[in-house]
Amino acid sequence: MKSALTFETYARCSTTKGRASILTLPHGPVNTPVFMPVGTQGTLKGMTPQQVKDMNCQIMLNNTYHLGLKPGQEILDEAGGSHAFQKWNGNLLTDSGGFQMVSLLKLAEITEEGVQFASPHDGSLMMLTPEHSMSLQNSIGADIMMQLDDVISSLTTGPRVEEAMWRSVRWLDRCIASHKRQDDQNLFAIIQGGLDPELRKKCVDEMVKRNTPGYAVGGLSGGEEKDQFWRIVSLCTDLLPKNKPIYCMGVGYAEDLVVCTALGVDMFDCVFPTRTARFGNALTMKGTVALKSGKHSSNFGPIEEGCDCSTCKNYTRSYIQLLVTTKDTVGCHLVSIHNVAFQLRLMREMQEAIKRDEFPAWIKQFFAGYFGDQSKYPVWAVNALQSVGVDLTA
Amino acid sequence: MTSALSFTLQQLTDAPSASGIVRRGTLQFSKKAKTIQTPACLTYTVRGSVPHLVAENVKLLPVQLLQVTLEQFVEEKEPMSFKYPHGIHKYLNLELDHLVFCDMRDPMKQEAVTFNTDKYLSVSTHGGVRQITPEMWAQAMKAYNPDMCALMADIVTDNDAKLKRIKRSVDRSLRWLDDILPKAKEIGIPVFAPVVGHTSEEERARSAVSTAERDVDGFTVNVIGLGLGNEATLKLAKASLRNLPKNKPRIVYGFGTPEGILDAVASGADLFDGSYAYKVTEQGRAMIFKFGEISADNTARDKPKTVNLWDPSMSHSFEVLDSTCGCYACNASHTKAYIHHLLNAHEMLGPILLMSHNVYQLDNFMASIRKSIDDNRFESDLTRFMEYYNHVEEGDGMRNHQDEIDVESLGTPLKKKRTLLL
Repeated sequence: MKSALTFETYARCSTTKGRASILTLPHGPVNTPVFMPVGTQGTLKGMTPQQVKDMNCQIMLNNTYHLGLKPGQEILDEAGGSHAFQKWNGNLLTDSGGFQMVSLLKLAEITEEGVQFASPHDGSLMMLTPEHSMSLQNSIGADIMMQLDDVISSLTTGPRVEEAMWRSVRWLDRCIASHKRQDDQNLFAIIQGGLDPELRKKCVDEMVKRNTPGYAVGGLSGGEEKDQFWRIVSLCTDLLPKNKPIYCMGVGYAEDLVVCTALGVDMFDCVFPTRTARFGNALTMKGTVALKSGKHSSNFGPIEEGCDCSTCKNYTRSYIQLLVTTKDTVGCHLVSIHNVAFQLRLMREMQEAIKRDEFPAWIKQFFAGYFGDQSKYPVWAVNALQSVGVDLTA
Repeated sequence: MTSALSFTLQQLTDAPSASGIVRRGTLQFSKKAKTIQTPACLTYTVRGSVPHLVAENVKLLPVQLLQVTLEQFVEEKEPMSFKYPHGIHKYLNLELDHLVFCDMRDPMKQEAVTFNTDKYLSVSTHGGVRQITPEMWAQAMKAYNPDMCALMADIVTDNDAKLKRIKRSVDRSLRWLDDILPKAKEIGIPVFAPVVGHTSEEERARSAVSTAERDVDGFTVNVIGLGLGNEATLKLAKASLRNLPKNKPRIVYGFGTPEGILDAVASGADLFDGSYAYKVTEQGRAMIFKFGEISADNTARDKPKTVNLWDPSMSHSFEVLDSTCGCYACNASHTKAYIHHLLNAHEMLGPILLMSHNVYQLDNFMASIRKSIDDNRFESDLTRFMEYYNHVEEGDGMRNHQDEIDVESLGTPLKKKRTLLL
């Protein structure tokens, strides 16, 4: 199918599978590996589009299911798409609504035709088919759209897993057939197959035949054993075409981003940094700082020394602590800004380390700083990195 | 007056007029070479921040003089903000040229707390009732180093208070004044003395006259939450104002609406709390009214002063809130449809955009009042304003600013289901 993007890898890590590239989309270039913050309902919670731009964020997510409910397709069409509606001139990526099948499972009924949801707001029924998802995503106008896939919980076992995988392939075909804006919107396929390597292989085989502009690894990041998670990710990055971006959906925590980058992933998204910010938790290279804790009230330093975000340059932990304990929205905003800046900084450091071909050394110092003691390193991460030639224990 | 602060009245219209005595002045802060034109609104803050807005947002607004409320910082036994070595401006991350006025209690809503005694003022914090003593007052001001401050006031919060209690509040406030004033002089920050008196005109007069005898830089007059109608409240404010010396600035709390502000300007007030911008925002409304721009031959009447962004009809409105507005929301061309969506989806960006707009508009309103006074047309502009706009009912039926006064609120964000869901 047509592609409205270019993907150029300019540096490859000589040890791991990590690579640094430039993904050029209709709304501008994106440096990968990239973390995409999630602005579900057409806004990155608590930040103006100008603030998001000032942080050098090049791409963010909107959610099709939620925008389809509020404000709805009619308004989005009237507004001229989500970019115009929210006044964001950077890139957008929309999820198909598939994930809500898992997260809102109590409200969803899945058939070959599509997914029928009962709205959490008023109980009204909405049928999400591949065609409807494409139509909604065409109205939203994101630079990257995701196919509607049959998403199952990563903890599911049995024949349902294979059923979901084949259905996702069939739904991909339906998505491709009904995608009306191939000139300026890139459709990504989503590899399913649960935690079964054979199913994943079959899925990759089939979906690669459809030649979409990019591929995502889906159906993970749902509570499965991390040791299984990384093996599936690594399998997919081995099998997928190297000249196209690979997106691991729903990832994640800092250590996940580092490991998956080493395994060859280019794109990530996760609600975690913005969500945890609203609970008063700040992410730093030395781990999480729970700002609600009273012990920060006497700390007149920034959340993270050396961080150049507007929160750290201007505010003390002491004042932020006062704001987050009293649930002031300003406190939320300050921590959200920092957390998004942190995620972007993390990715930038990885891009630069790969460019200098010093990625393994960077990984080691990251883990040392983030976890402190080697005994605290997650075993799965040690295993995963081992598989690509990085020995964290050395 | 200390050398750090001086007040000049540019125009004194002593000539009897329908509305009273209108003042136009300038407040000069010599240490920072900054001037505030009056009448003006202080920017309202909660725990030192303009609600919903971080410094990057505030930088884009015409904010000059912020009101910081001490009771919002003293929940801890040893408030950490007192230990911060660089002063309140830096602690709150204000711009270099922002000015801070520090008073004790939230000017938007005076929640009743337990009794005050000669030794302390009871205040309400997020962790419960605390006491502010003269020693603590001095400690705070020394640590904060605001550009101007208010002294402790024994404000009666019981609407059924008897005259005895009111008299005691006047006497106690004076005793506190005499006790703290030397400390204040030592610290070197300009002080505003509270003029109290609750619902008694006589006591208000007495408080004003006695307070005026002390060597202070200005006065605060409090008419919040008296539970009386507009006319009666204005009468009480006037009882305080007319007994204060003309050459010193007066801050008035409790005239939170545009009509109230205009009434108070016409009665000799110079500065107001800016909580109206916040109240309007919390209702999901945007201010659209103007002062001084309505021509005499405009016969339109009963126009609404605010726009309700919750109204379903907003969902298809792709215009900005106000095409003449210079706030971030309007400059970035954010549409009513988008803001409506944000409110509907309980997204925090909604209140951010509305707050930016309303702070800007309130400042604009005050600037228009000043211009009107300068051009000698305040009386006629006031008449036009009262004719042109509806003052009882907003376009969608909200009456008498009714839902603008939430009795349960304490200056913390109103916990209404429709406002913010984090």
